[in-house]
Amino acid sequence: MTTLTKIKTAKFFSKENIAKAIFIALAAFSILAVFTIIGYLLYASIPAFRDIGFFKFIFGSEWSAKSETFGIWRMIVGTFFLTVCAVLLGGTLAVFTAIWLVFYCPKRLKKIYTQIVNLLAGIPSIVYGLFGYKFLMPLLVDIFHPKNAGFGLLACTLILSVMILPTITSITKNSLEAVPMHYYEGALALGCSKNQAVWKVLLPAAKSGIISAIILGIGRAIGETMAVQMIVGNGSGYPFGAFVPFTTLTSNIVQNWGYATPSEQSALIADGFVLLIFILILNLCLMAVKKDSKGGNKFFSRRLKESDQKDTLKSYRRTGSACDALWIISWVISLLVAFVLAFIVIFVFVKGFPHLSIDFMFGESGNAHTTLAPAFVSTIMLIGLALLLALPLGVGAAIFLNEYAKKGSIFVKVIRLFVDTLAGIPSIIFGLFGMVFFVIGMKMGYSLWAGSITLALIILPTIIRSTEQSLSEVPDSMREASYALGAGKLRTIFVVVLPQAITGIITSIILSIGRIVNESAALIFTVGSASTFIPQGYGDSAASFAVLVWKFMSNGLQVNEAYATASILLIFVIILNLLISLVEWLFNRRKKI
Amino acid sequence: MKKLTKILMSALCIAAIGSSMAALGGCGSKKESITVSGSSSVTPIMEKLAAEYEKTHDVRITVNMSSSGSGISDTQNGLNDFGMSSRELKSSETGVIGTTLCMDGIALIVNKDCSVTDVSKTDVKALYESGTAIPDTTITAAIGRDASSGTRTAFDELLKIENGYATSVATLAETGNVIEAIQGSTNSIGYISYGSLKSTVKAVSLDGVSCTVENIMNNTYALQRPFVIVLKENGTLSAAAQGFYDYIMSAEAQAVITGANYISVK
Repeated sequence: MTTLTKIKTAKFFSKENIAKAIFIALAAFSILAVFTIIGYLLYASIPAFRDIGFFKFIFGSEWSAKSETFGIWRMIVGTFFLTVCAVLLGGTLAVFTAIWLVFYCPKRLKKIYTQIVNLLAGIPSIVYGLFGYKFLMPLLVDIFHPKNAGFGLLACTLILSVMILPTITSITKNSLEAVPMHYYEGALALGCSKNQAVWKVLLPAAKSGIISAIILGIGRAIGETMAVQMIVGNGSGYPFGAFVPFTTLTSNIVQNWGYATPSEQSALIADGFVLLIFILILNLCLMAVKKDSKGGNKFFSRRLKESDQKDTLKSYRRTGSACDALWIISWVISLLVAFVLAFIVIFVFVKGFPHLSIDFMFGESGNAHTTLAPAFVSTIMLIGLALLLALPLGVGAAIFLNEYAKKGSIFVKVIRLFVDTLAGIPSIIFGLFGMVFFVIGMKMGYSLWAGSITLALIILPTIIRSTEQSLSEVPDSMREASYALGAGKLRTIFVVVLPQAITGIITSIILSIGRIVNESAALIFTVGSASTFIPQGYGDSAASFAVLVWKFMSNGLQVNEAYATASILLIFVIILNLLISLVEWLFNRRKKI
Repeated sequence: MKKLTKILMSALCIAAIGSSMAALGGCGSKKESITVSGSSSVTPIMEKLAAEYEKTHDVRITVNMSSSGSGISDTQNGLNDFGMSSRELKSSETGVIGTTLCMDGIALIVNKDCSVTDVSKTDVKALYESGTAIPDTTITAAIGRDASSGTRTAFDELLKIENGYATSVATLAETGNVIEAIQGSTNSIGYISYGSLKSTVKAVSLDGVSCTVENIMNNTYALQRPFVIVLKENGTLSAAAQGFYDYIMSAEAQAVITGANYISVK
């Protein structure tokens, strides 16, 4: 080997290049993850498609393990009806709430109300289920006197629309705030009242953002599992009526998985695969909508500011148009949303707090007396390992996307697409995948290992997105200064850029913890639900708080304990939300100094 | 700024160390462990027996609640020490053998405010099969269990319901959900294990025979089925599991079983 080639190889294997290769690999991991999930679920559902026949499986309406006939047409119709109803109701409420929040909310309330929406997003699915089952269904029975215990479309629609509301509200809010202020000023200059400007000019201008918000809401509604499976009733009919128990794609999986004949298992995985296909199609729609919205006018890109509203609005108050009615409706709806949140939280607290005691929380747990001590340990273990796995992956991917990749290259676009896809996959699909891939395929058994790895996949997109966002906010001048002082790229990233982006990373950690604490469907499938003892290691089956609520609820003897556990969960969620505000506040203060 | 970063970083480190300590802390006292899994109907009595056994023996018994179907398949796949089933094993379930632990009644339950006290077999069958309301009563809806439930299999067999339930019947995943649903509505009827019966709901009699220990014992109450312990055929239990198995089949354990409203067969 000549000296020249030696130098060349040495250069090729330099620290910088190796690091770059590692970052590329970390970024490409999301692509690998999505392909593995799709591929493996397809692979595992092939036996069902082959034995039953694809069309018979999709359009067959009977699901019976006894006669080995599996058809999911009923579930598709059920999911479709429920999604349409929930999105119509929840979407309407959410758009009104977002408009109120952006245009009509008194300035002092704005932060608090944003917190309310965030909190609504943070309430675990299982708690919504508990609330629906124990409060909403009996209430509906009292009002409408249906012929059953309240199962069916009406109860499900009400609960689900509240669950998807925060998603749609926050995205609609962002896109309303991004409408150039000139639209508003122009409308006022032409003689519109404030209400007319809001409803006739600003709302249509934010159309594409609202459409993507609603598509995301649809994705959330289709994938929702634990709350729906409690209230839907799992009947063998079609949802033609407010009180007919029916089955959705997700509730079918959760309810029948226990009966594990191999042929039905494969059919259930195929059910999940169909669900995944729906989600993927939605993702493509979302991409198309986003592409459209790029064509806006760049001259008018000044964003809406508080001061704009304060200064320009006052003198243009007029009444008497139809838009004023909408203004009143938006007030009513947003008050209603705040009331619903307060009611759910208070309901759970009132039912739960009397049954909380030090002994119930930390006492020694055994078969005679199950306490929450094992749940504390197993939840912490899940959070620890999942973060340990997902943080390096996510931060590494974000570093590649922001520091190494050329802006707008195809590779970056592909990675972003797959990160978004991963973020849109419902947790029940992650659960199924974790079950067939880690628990059965890699013979991990129901274990904290399998659960933590599955959770790492679930939180990965959050970490990538949040870190990337804050990396991109670090000014280029800092990087340039670092290079000018002779630092290499790697050193610049770790010593200069990353410390600046710490807010985003910490926020992503808190968000991830919230996601893990909330998770139930994916965990039941991967960690099982053993709740009696403190797990002795990552090989054990265990139950986190959310799973414990489900378990207490199911055995029928411990409803009070279910409420108590749910109130602890809610306290966690509230603390995490406050922590995020605290972190933001701390760093904003720092920036000002 | 640096200070803040440092503080946050150290907080993170502490959290990470804390979680690994918690993980390791558990490892300190490794007891012999027994895993039992299966029917949610058998779970309450199994937990009671386990609690009794743990008082005198230094073992850890994990009772995993799922359904009879998965209890049996767990045993077939070697995922537990033994399984629990709330119905007889089917001939298609090979590689496992069952031993009866005790008998259990299937109680038909209604809301406490419901005036109905007695129903007939034919009416209940018609309600579940075709959704016809029970004549001359307020009961218009039925709540059943999911297909993998042993209680449902036994119930369907005893009432000869062969072609599945009517579309108006809600099927719920666990015993507890049935009790909760009945508590919330006065127009529904459901069925649960007699041992899980609580004072929050009311059991009704079937064809004039009320669901009591005596009536189940002398076979006059029609809805009853065995609780079965599922063992691997030709398999051997670990010493700890064998000890627990011997205990639950002993006279001492049968006393606990009788005390909890199940019917001893010994």
